[in-house]
This record gives sequence, structure tokens and C-alpha cells, in this order.
Amino acid sequence: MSTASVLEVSGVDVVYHAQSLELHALRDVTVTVAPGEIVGVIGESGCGKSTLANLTLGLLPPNGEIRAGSVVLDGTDLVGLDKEALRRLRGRRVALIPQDPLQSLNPTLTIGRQMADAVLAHADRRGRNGGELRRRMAEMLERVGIPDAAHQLSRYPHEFSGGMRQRILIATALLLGPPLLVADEPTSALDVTLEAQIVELLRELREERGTAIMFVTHNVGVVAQLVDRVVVMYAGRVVESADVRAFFADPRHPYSRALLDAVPSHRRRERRLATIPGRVPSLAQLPVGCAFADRCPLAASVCHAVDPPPVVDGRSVVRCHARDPRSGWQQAPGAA
Amino acid sequence: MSADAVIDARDVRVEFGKRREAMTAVNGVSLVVGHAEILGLVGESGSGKTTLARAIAGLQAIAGGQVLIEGTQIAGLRGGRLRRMRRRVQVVFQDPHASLSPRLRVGYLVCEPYTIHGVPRDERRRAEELLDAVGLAPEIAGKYPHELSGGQARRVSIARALAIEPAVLVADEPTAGLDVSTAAGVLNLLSDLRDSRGLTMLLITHDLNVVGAVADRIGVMYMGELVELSEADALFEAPRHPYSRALLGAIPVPDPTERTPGVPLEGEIPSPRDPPAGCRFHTRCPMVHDTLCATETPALSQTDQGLAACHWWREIAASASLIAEAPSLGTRDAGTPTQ
Repeated sequence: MSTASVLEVSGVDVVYHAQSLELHALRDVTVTVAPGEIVGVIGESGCGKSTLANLTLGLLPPNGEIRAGSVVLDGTDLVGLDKEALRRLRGRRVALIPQDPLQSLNPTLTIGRQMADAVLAHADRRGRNGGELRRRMAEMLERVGIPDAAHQLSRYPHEFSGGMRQRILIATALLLGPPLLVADEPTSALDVTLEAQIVELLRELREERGTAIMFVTHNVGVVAQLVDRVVVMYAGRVVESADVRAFFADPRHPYSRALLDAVPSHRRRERRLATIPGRVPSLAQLPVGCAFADRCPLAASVCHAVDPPPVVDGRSVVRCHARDPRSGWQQAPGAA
Repeated sequence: MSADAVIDARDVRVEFGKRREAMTAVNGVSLVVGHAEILGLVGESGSGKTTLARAIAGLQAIAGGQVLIEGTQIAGLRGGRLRRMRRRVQVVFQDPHASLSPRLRVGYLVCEPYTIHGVPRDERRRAEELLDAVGLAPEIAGKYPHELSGGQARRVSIARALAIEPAVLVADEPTAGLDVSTAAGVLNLLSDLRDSRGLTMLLITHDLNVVGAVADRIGVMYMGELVELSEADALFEAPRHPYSRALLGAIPVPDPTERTPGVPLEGEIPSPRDPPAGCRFHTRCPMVHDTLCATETPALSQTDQGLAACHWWREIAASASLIAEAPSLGTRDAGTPTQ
């Protein structure tokens, strides 16, 4: 996209140091998020989704090292910034909607106190009088669907249900008006009825405020309903990136297809669900060639020898020899 | 029906707390599950589904009603008789890592039920058989729980539950926290075990897609009550209770060209300490009609395709759409509740 992106992650390699091992958590990862765009990031556990989310928030753990690439957030490259500079960006340029609303709130402090803390930790203290801040917090709570908000500010987290807590966290994330939200499985702790409410809320907020969202999830249904673009990660790589309609109509990477096929749906009740044989390879010992080759129904000899480069086709990117006209890859007879 | 009933729960009540503080977690639920049948129990958090399952497994004292497993009542059993009964019902708990001791190897863990129930065995051989039955390699026996992936830990929990060859397996959110592919494998396994061992299963989940994949019949719970019980296909195609409709309508459709049909349900489950009068669902029901819903509790009664507890199931059946909007109810006299 030619318009300035809210987030431009380009060619990023992230390594975690664990004892004597090096875990290659992100490998040559490129992801962009346009203003107001909702990008869904999917993949199994251990594929780098959360590392990508933490990287974007400037929250890599101390044993994480960015080996290569740049992470440009709203015009500022995060790579090489110190902790203090990152802290100042969080809240105003990017904010997190966490997975578990209860664990993310301190049970001993009121909601109002915690929302104010979040603002004061990341914003300039000058010109913020308490009354003004309280009014803005109450407004934001009302907006995310918490009635009688001015009253609620002095209540404690346990007095709210799970769905309400998630709304409170969304309101807190929005307080400093960041152009990008990172949502890490924000509905996986919620019932389907509440999930539907939160998805609806995020959709409205995007419409009203033009807030872009990086939505990390394993819920394929929510991805189909909410996002504009899908990014599929496997073993630290982006193996496919495509517009949501194109993706669901024709997932290009065999891993993407396998992921979609494994999702149970009451709409196609089958005796047997499709599974993906094997497991995600260890990030400490990645195989030569394509990391998915050992589990891939299409794998040919080239897949075990050469890591496929990205194939760009318009707005889609896929890393698969089978989809690469340059690879000379031959589909085995009878393969799907 | 009762001749074949492996699980026969009759008017089960479970209460927590005393007097003023008391709340009813399960309020008079009856259900029968037959041999080699998989019954899915669904509902939001706080609907009582796990408590009901615990009562059926004999892990939760009941305040009223009866639970019969293969014809034997479990309430009031103690000591050896209770233990013998528990051999017939095994539970796979929600968090496998929390239910497997971190200090013991898998091989010991899967055979532990033999020790508890005093069954003689050749431990190594049995451990291998059990692990094989759940699709795990024999080497797993030498590992500690922290060395297992989520899917492996779940399979070990299932292997352990199978050890003493129960008649009933109660699985509480068996796919929670698993990746889709791993979850699909566990669901296939449950289905296989039913076929190969004739296990009767109670599957508790809040994910309707999960029950849809394996259950024969589905019970929908709301605030401690069973509000609908019918064949899985019928329930998915044409639910008769507005709450079932709302749950189904809220499942995100895995197709970006189609919007999820339901208008999301307003609000959340009311406090169980102070349940609404009349139909417990009437405060959130998109089809709430007249004063009848607010005053008279609808009985769980026979519909054209199963059981439902709604005064208006006939009108719902007559309106074909799954969209959670009120069908026209104006034509019927509100004073004649459906019996």
C-alpha cells in the first residue's frame, strides 16, 4: 500500500536465547498494517504469533534479540530504542488488549485507579487534572458499553463479569487514542455470546475511530468475521498473507488449507475431522528446506532441500514451492 | 428407555452455600444417556454444566433427585461401594497439566488408577496398551508431564481415565487451549473410543462446534436448568429454545462473505443468587413476550423434535429463520402456556 502504514515490520529476525540454545522465533517476518485495517494473525502455538505481538508493543522479553530488520510503528523505528523510549510509545502509538481480562487487572485497585495509571504511565503529566481524566475515562467506559460509568470507576475488578472486564481493558487501551491496537486472543476466555459482543464492539470502534488492529487468534470464525487481511505464521515465518475473502476462497499455502480444514463446524458435521499430522518443529532445530515439509501433503524433494522464498502476487504473499512458478516444482500424480 | 440407560439423572438439584447465601447451581435436571451415546452439554459459564457433570460422576453431593449409573444410585454411597461405583465413571478434567502430578512419569500416572482401585496388573504392558489406545508412542511412558505438549497431556489424561475400563467418560472442555489441529485429533479419538469400547460420554463444552463434531444429542443449559435437549442434527438445524438459537446464532461463521446471523445476546447471565422470576431466560430473551414469560416458568416439555422449556416453541418452530428476532407472537392468547 502506498499510504503510510501504521505498522511496518520488515525482514525481522528474532532470536530467543535459552541456556545454550537459540530459538528462531521470527524469521524474515514482514507484516504491514494500514491505518484502520484489521489484520488477523493465525497459526498454531509456537509459530511466533505472540512474539510478533510483543515485538510490535516493544515488549520482547530480555532474552529476545532482534537480529535483523525494522519495526516502524507510526513513523518510528522501535529497533534499538531503549526501554524508556518504548514505554513512551506504548499507550499513545500502540496499546494491548490482553487475553485474560482477570489476570490483567489488579484485584486490589479500583477500575478508575488502574485506568488512570495506564494513562499516567505513558502520557505527559502536564495538563492532566484529575477531574478531566475521570470524565474522559467515564466517557470511554460508556462507549464500550458499560452503563453508569462514572459510578463504576470506583468499583473493583471482581465486581465485574468477564465480558465487562474485557470491555474495561478495551476502554483503557483506547484512552490515549493509539492508531494501532494489538489484541492477543482477546475473546478466547469468553463465551460465544460475549465473544460476539466484543467482535461487534471492535468492528464499531474501527469504523468510528479508524483504529487499526492486529488481531492474534486461533479462532478461524472470528478471523472470517472481523479481519480485512489474514497473516498465517508457521515456525517463525509468515507463510501466507492475503485479503480475507481471497484467503477463505482459496488458501494458497498447504498449511493454511490444513488449518481451515481442521476447524470443526456444526455446519458440516462429519464423522472425522481433518488433522495435521506431526507437530510444529522445534524453533531451536529447524529442518533444512521448508519447515512445513514434514507435515505437508504436497511435499516434493525440493521442499526438503530449499526454503521457499516469498512469492508476491498483488496483495498476496505465499511461501511455497508448489505456488512458485520459478521453482520448477512438479506436483506428484494424485496429490490434491 | 431406562433398560438401556447408562446414565439416568432424575430431577438433580445441586446447591451451594447455606440459607440466605444459598444458590442453586443445578435446578432439577433430568436426563438419560444410553449405551455408547455421546451427550454434549453446552451453555455459557455459570450455566451449571460442569456442576451437573460432577454430580453425575459422584464428585458433587446433590441436594435433591437421583443419579443412577447402570441402574445403581450413587448418592449416599460411601467407602468401598462408592469407590466401586467410581470405577464405572471416569472424568477427564479440563486442565490436564493441573491433574497430572509433575513429579511422576506418564507410565506411572496412567496406571495409578489400578493402585487406587486395587486392580492387579502388569504395569509396563498395560501402560503401553493404554498409550497406544489414545494414539501415543510407548516412549511417552518415560516422560514427565511438563515434557508433554498440550495435546499429548490431554491424551494421557484420557488414557488414565480408560485404565479401569469405565462405562462412562465425562470430558470437561476436552479441547480447551488446544490448537485446532490438535483439538480435531482429540475429538476424533473420543469418537473412536466410543465406537471401539462402547463408552458412554458426557461432553461438556461451551464451544458448539466441538459438540457438533461428535455428539449424538445435545443438552443446552441456562442458569442451572436444561432448556433444550434434542438430537444434534435437529438442534443445529432448528433449535426450539430462543437461548439455543442465540447460542447458535453467535457462532462466528468461518466465511467472510457471510455475516454471523445472530444479533448478539444482550448482557450476561444474571446472578444465580437471585434468578429472574418466571422463565430464567426472559431478561435476555429476544423473543420475550407478554407477562407470561416473566411470571410462569416454562416446563421442559416435548416438542416436535425433542424437549424444550419455552412457552413459545411452536411459534419459534413456525418461523424458519435462525436470526434472533422475535417471530410474530401476537396471534396467540398469552394466557395459554404450552404444556
